[in-house]
Amino acid sequence: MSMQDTPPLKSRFAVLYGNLLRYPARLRLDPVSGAALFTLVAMLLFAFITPLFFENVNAMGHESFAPPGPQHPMGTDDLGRDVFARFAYGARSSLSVGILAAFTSSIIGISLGAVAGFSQGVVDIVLMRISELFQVIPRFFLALLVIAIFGSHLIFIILTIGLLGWPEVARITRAEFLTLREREYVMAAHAVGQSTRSIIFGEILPNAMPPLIVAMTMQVSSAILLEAGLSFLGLGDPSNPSWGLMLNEAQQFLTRAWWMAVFPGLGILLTVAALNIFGDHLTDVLNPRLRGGR
Amino acid sequence: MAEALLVVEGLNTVLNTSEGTVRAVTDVSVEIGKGEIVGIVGESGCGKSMTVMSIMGLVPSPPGEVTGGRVMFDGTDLRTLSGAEMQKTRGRRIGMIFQDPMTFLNPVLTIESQISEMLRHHLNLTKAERRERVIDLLRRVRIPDPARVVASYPHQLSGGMRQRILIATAISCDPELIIADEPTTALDVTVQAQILELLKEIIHDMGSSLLLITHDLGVVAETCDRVYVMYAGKVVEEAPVDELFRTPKHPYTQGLLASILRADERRDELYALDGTVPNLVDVPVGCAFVDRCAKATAICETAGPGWTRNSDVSGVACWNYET
Amino acid sequence: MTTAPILSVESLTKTYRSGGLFSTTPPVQAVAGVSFDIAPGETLALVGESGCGKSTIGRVIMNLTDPTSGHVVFDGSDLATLDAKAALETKTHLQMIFQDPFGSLNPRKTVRQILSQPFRVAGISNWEPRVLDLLRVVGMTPPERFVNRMPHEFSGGQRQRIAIARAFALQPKLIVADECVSALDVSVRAQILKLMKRLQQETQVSYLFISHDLGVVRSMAHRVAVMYLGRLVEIGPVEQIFNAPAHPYTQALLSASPVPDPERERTKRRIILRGDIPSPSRPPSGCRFHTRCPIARPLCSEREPILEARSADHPVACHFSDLAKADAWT
Repeated sequence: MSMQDTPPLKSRFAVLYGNLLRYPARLRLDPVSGAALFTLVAMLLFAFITPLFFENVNAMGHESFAPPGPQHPMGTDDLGRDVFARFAYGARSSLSVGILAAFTSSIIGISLGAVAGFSQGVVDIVLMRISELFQVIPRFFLALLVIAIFGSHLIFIILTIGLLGWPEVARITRAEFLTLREREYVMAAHAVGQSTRSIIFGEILPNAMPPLIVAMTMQVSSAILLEAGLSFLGLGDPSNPSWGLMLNEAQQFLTRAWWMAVFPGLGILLTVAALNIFGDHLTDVLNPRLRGGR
Repeated sequence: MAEALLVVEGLNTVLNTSEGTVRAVTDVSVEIGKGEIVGIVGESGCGKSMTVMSIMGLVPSPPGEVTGGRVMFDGTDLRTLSGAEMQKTRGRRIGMIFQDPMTFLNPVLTIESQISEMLRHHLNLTKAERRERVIDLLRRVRIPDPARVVASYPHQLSGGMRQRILIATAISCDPELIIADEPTTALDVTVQAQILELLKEIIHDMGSSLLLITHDLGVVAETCDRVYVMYAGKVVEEAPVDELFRTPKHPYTQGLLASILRADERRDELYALDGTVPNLVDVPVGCAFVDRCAKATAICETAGPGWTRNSDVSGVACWNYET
Repeated sequence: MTTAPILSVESLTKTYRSGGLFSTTPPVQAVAGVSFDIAPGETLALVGESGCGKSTIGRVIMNLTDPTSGHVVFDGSDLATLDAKAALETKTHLQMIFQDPFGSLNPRKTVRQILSQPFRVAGISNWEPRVLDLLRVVGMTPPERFVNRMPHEFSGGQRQRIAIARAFALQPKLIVADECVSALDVSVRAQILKLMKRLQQETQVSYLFISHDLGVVRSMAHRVAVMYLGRLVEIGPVEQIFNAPAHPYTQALLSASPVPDPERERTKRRIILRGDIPSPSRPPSGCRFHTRCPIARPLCSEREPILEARSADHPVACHFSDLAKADAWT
């Protein structure tokens, strides 16, 4: 045996978190959750590949209000823009907002939750009161306020939604840390003299991941909905078509061009429903108390 | 042996899991006479609890399934009874006591309502009679100040008190048989001593029989008249308690007894059975104990030992046991 | 004791305040003024029933929780007063084995990662051969077969072996073993105890053996300390405690532990205590045992007995230990 057997950092990470990455084999998909996962993957691929084939989404010049047909699979809008192209771009921005906002809130939530749960005491109390403060603020109106002040650029929308979502993640992280820190293997790590950092990231966090992953999928879906809501009210980023923005534009022509509203609406519905169904399924699969019971 | 109350013959129970079929109980035959205290002893996973569940018709299905055998209780085969008839037998004629009273007591009901629920189900009594009976039952299980305790909730009582309540529930309809599955495992020794003493007395007073499931040979020695030793889903030895402890026949029983550390003697050299219990998914063809057995011979690998009866009340399943 | 003790616990008290800031529930005095020493190579068993504070003492010694008052002196130094670096160095000689073999190993780590952790913390880089050695020492051979597996692939006994291997990684001087075999089956329990005894002979490690199982204690311990509701009621050499228990609680405890011998069970004198163990948040006045004591007198509810030496190395905390029959359980 030589030093070569020492697992390098990367593979150590892979072993610790590897179980989480090896899910497909253990997902135990049923038809419903399988369909949800398929929808999600298809939507992601669609959102990040299709827009590459359209040069300018805002290109006008087609016939206005053309119904769906071979030329325009989803028809055209009032300005003669292709709805399918805008739908594809919309998918990209909606999903980006969802994912990036969820990422932001997870980073903040996991860090603060971990600190609160691990340190307990005054730090915990203060952090949890702050998170409660964020939770009682009506999200939508805070988002309105931020956009009114800073403008409606996509990055602000992502940050706002991300900043609003962290308390949920933080509370789940904290709860997991509170129970896991009392586990005997964590005490054993203390006894061996492991550093706090290595205990948090090596011993506790990997075991806290399952409920957090579920929370993250829920974060994505609520971020998509929030963004759609903001755009629908005309507060979205006008230069980036999103599903919400398309719905906003479709309002006035609802009786004349149903396709302008139906397709982005379906996009939101499918994505959010798929996320929620898949998230619920993950809860079942990852919950150790239910696991194996079947 | 006294007249038989419960005769279990050739009981087989399997669990269908994703890893395969677990043979939890294999050809188990057990007999309990009237007024007898019989123990089933074995380590975790030996099938002792599954045997009890099978007797009571409580095997969770799926994944469990009783695949064969007869459970004759006072002349009727419990396995042929309908669900409703079985329910009547449980509680009324067979009482049960479990390891953890907290999971069997409803946390939002008072002690009185839990016990009188049982009485309402099985006996025809007026409300006042029921109340009187509940208080009487609590007195019988030596609960001090029963009039106050009936109004309390499970969480307000200590572990020992809760186990007494469970015993009171089990004996509430004067059953002929009480089955106790690890009744004292969750308790401290001084409380365990109280509960075992109480159980023996109550069984004796009622003239009922007790089937005691335990992993603790000390508890068996203190409580039982006769014992069945189980290993890997099978009964490997049966004997009156004195005989079992004085002259254990099966190598597993011998090893088990030799590896127990006793409070009444200090051992400087410890004895340990090597190895672990076999996986019950692919049970070895031969004797299940062969890997850990010092006396194993060629035949032990290839064929399971039959049951050798040594007397009316004792027997052993081993090719090479010493008499 | 002639040699310097490896561990000295001096008037240790630990009080838990329950609930939040505005809680009205009284604090729980889990450990009240407990003192004892452990010599190098010695096993001291800490026995008692639930709520007696034995596990709390283990946790305080391991620095997993701070004492309310009192000191723990390990290997000549008080861990609470050492600077961080020296404390880390000293702490490596103080290890723990836990009760639950399913909870003491991180379910997401391989055996290699679990066992290399102590070495990596101590800055030892060439740890692979040592990890394999450790597995060999605890009887898991060939080690190459086990080192890449995850905890869930092992039985309870094997997990406990791994936990023991981890505790022995850095030449420990004292191991706190908290009910380390009570979750195991009889036949596996004997294997683990045998292993612990062998390791003690080989390394001269000391054990603080926390247990409620008097059978195990009798064969494992050199000295025994008996606790009741946070107090030490009796401490002495194992044979004295078992053959001539002086405290009525020790006698009751011994008489209550079942022995696998039906004849003995029938003939032995039985002391069945009344009632349950009182809540540690409201301990009885005077002697904490007086509510259940078969020989209690009025004095017992008024004055708390102090731990007094009956003979040189066998102190007892009882006003009337002369009355308590020494042959109580034989």
